Formats: sequence, structure tokens, C-alpha cells
Amino acid sequence: MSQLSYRRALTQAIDEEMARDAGVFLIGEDVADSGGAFGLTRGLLAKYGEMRVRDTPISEEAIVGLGIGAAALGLRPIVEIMFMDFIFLAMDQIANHAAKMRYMYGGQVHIPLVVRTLSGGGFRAGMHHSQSLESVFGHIPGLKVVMPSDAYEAKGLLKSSIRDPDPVIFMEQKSLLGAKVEVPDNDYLIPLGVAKVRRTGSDVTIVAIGIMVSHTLQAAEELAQEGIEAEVVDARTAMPIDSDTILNSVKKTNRLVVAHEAPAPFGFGAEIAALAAEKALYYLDAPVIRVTSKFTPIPVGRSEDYILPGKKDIVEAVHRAIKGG
Amino acid sequence: MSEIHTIDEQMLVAFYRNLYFARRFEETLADMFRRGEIDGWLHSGIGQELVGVILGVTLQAHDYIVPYHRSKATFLARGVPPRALIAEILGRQSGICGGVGGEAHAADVSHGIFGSTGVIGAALPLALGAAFVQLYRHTDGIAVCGFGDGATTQGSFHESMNLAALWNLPIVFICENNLYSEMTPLSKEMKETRIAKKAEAYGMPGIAVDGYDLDATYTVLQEAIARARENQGPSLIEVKTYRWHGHYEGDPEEYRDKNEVEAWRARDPLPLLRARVHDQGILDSQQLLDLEKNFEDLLSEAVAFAKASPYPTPENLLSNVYATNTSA
Ligand SMILES: Cc1ncc(C[n+]2csc(CCOP(=O)(O)OP(=O)(O)O)c2C)c(N)n1
Ligand SMILES: [Mg+2]
Repeated sequence: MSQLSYRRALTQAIDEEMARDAGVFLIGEDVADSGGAFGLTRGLLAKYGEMRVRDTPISEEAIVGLGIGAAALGLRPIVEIMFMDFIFLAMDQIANHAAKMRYMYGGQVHIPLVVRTLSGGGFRAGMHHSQSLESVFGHIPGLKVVMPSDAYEAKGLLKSSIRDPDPVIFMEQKSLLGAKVEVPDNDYLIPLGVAKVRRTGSDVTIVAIGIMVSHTLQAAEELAQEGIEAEVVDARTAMPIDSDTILNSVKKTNRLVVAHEAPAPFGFGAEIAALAAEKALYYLDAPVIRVTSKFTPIPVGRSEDYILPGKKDIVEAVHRAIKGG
Repeated sequence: MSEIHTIDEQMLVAFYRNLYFARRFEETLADMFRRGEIDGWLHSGIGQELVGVILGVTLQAHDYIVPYHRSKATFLARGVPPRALIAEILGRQSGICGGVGGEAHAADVSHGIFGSTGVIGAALPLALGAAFVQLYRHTDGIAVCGFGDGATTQGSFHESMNLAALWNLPIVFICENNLYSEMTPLSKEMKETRIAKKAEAYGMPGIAVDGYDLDATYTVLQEAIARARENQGPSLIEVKTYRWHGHYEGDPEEYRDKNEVEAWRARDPLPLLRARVHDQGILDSQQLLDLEKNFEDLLSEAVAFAKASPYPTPENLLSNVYATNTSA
């Protein structure tokens, strides 16, 4: 056990999985010689060599396609897309091929591919370097979408994603890269599709994902001082959705707030609200409230703070939920 | 191309058998489509069987093929059971993909065929993966990727050619240039219509060949395959060819001249090859007739099998979305 940053937890996860399985390889722009634009893959080239850790040209579609082909034929590729915003360039390969290949070939292949990508705000770099696109991928049958909320989660979830037989979009939360928590040095896995209750409470359930989990935990501390006990559920994966954990909590607290950094329309929050409406409507004492970014592109600089949701928005949402909407 | 490689007798017979069978397979499918026996679409490969036949016959078992999208010939020559291929095209459970992939998305990984896609241009990046697997595993296997002229105007073509050359991947890109992309003639697809020339820009050889000339096509393909196998890197082969039927079965074909179609049909490599096998004394007339009769029986049996096969069950249709048990 040691204090490890989110960044190093990710490196450690890749390192351990590469050591464990000779079929795991890593490709992406600047992942090898320079150790990653943000140092996430530092040291791996020296340890595993050029066949397994490779820099690529700026060709998102080709490198993801290469990963899919290699996955279908038995390897375990990790393809890094530097920023999630660039994943649209590989969209055909991800949405039409990684997601569908197993189905369209009648189960002849697995696609154990991980597409790792930095997502969300935090660098104040604007609309082409800040998006959270989980709902785009959660909408497509065949994909899994993982959003680790701290370094402990990042390591366990990435190791599981690499071992998973299905394609995983792994969204690394860029504003958490430097954040440290206790992380075991040894091998541990966090299963995909199992949410985690990060804080128990009886007054309101807050389902949060990715970076919003840390904002939510802080909001919950603040709310506790007012005497409001929030239960915080870290969804961990946008797909699969752990309905049981979420519904059990809602049935206990009778109030639901959902928090994510992406905009509201067609988002993860809409999905969780629909789940509650379909499966727990009569347990709800208040309308479901979503905490999301505003429905705009993300501007550069500090204007980002106005557009993206934070602790304050969660506190306010809970107040509304407690008042009954 | 240095000089024409000779094709030995045994291989000539293999080519004839497979070309004949692929042709009859295409004709049979077109007839079935006309009779309303095939759901959805059919994109005939008739007139373009030769490349698939050469690949199917000459590649090694551990080579991977991402097939050109019209090429039923690739599957058949590679040894995929015809009954399972027809069943797939008819959307039946006994098809190679359980009847969910159909014509456009058919694959048979046990025969090294994968990467078929309904998206023009998407095959190339997938094929890079197949070639990379060969490199990664230090095999002497290669990957071959077929596509049409239409794919060469996609970004995926450019990205894939560049990456393949850069990484010295053991791959052969084979562009079957049949002069049209759907209803659009080559001259409206691209300014530079000499597709093979584009290879130079990526740092690999590009060779154009008459796809109705068996010996020339065989030679060019063998040289590119050997190059890839000996780790000398990828090649782009432009095979000049022609589809006799419309873009899809039922296409009114208003965009092309009947004389053009007739001119290509008149150069059909199939009767030429038959005559060659006969005139060289490899097979006599009776042997040829027997061989052809056997194929007719095989075809009727395959069609009957496919038609009698059930459609996928609801359970089939809901499985294989994920390898693990995953619910939304
Ligand atoms: C990305 C994409 N755009 C458009 C189409 C529709 N489409 C199907 S086949 C085809 C023409 C392809 O031409 P070519 O690559 O030359 O192959 P050919 O059909 O001539 O064998 C088109 C445009 C498609 N399937 N995929
Ligand atoms: Mg064409």
C-alpha cells in the first residue's frame, strides 16, 4: 500500500498487465519514446520493447482499426487516443467494428480491446480537449464504458478492462491525474459493471460518475454539516449499469440526484432517471434531479468553470431534492 | 513484375476448379435473388472471381485474408463449405456467422477470413491488425486486404497505407478496380485514376495488372505475397477488372454502356482457362464434364441445405453482443 497518483496508478496497471500477459501491447501517439504526452506510459518502452510499446502517426482510425484486428485474432491491444475529443476520428472503427464484430460474425471473435483516453475538463483547454463522451458509447451495443473516480479505482478498473473479452472505452479523468490515494502495490481487480457505495446515507442517493464522484463526496460532507446524509454511489461504469446497487439505494433514500460532467440530453443521468422511473417510481418522494454541464461546447480558460458542474451544483440539487423538487 | 511465373499443371487445375465453381456460385445466387429467395441485397462478384481464386488457392493456412467485399470466390477457394456460405447469405442459423452477418459481413475465422464490413474503407485498418499479429507472433504469415477503387478515396486508405509502410507490416493491399463505385465512374471518384501510382507516396511498390490475365495477375500477386512474407514490406496491387452485373442485383445500370460490359465479358478468363487445361492435355473433355457435374451436385445440395435451415432464434439474435453476460 502506498499513496499513488491517478497517473501512476494507470501506469502501474498497464505495467502489471503487460508483465502478466505477453499478448498485451500498447500503441498511440507519443506513448513510447516520450512516455506519453502526460507521462502516463513512462518507462514502459524500456521495459517491454518496441514491439509492445509503439508510437504511432496521427491516424486515429487506423490505429484503432489495427487494435480491433489484432484483438479479433487473439492479442490484447491497448490503444491510446490522446484526448477523447479525437475519438470521433476513430468512430467508425469503434462504433461499427469494435462494437459489432463479435455479433456480426456470430460469436467467432472476442474483441478484448481497450481504448484509453483522457476525458473531461481540468486543463481549461476548450472544446476540443475537454469532452466527456460516455453516453455516445454507452448507446452502442457491444461497448463497455469505464470512468474511474480515483487512483485506486483507476488501477483496478484498468486491469479488469485489459482482461475483459469485450471492447472497453476507458475514460481517464484528466483533472484527477495528480490526485493521490492509497493504492495496493499488488494485483487487484475491480469488476466492470459493479457500482460502489462510497458513502452511506439515508436522505438522498447521489449517483455520480468519473470526476463527479470526488465533487459529490465533498458535497456530501458539506451536506452532513447541515444534517443531510447523502448516500454516494460511484457508478464506475456507464455501461454496464449496475441497476441493483442504484435501485437499492433509491428505495432506501427515496430521493435521487445524478451527477456527471457531460451535458444532460441523452446522457447517463437520463438513463439513470429512466431506470428509477421504470423500476422505483413509487419509492421516489421527489423528482429526479440531474447535475450536468451546460448544453454548450466547453469554452477555454476559466470560463470552463461556469459551464462544467461542481460541488456547489450538487449541494443545490440535493437541497431541491429534499424540498421535493 | 520481373517475368511471368509459370503455373504448374496442378495449380492450373486448382484455378480452373475454383474459378468454375465461384462462377456457378455467383450465377446461382443471382438466380435465387431474381426469384426472391434472398432477403435484403446481393452484390454480385461475377466477372471478378479471379483474384479471390488465386488468393484462396495460393495463400498459406496461417495467412489472414480480409476479403474484397464482392468476393464469394475468396471464401470458396479458401475452403469455406459452400452450404454454410449460402446459408449465411440467406440469413440462416447454419451460416458461417449464424445467419446474422449475411453477405456483407461474412467471416470465417477458422479459415483465416475476417474483417468483412459494410463500410467501404473500413477493412484496411482492420487488416493492419491482422498483419501486426503476424509480426508480433514472429510467424512467416501475412495479411491480404481486398477492397474496391471506391475505398481508395477514404481517409482510412491513406492512414493504412502510411502505417503499413512505416511499420513494414507483412501485408498486400489489393484494389480491385472495376471502374465504378456504385454508379460513379472512376473519373468522378478521383483526379489521379492510376491507383497503383499512389503507393509511391507511401513508400511501397504499387503495381497495376490486367485482372483478366491469369498469368500476369498470378505473378504480380505472388511477388507481392513473397515480399510481405520475407519481411520486405507491404505492396499495393491494382487489379483492373470489371463487374458484369450491376452494383446490386436489380441495378438498372443506366450509368454505363452495354458495349463496355460486352467487351469485358468477351475477355472472360474462365473459358480461356478451360481450353488451356484441356489443350495442354491436363484434363480431357470427359474429366472436365465430370468435374463440372460434381460441382452442380455440390451446389444443389448446398442450396437445398441452406433453404431447409432455420432462421436464427430470438435467443440467437440476442446473444453475442458481449462475450460476458452484460445487460443494459
Ligand atoms: C462508408 C461507406 N460509404 C458508402 C457506402 C455505400 N456503398 C456501398 S458499395 C459502394 C461502392 C464501392 O465501390 P468500390 O469500392 O469501387 O467497390 P465495388 O462495389 O465497385 O466493388 C458504396 C458507395 C458504404 N457501404 N460505405
Ligand atoms: Mg469499384
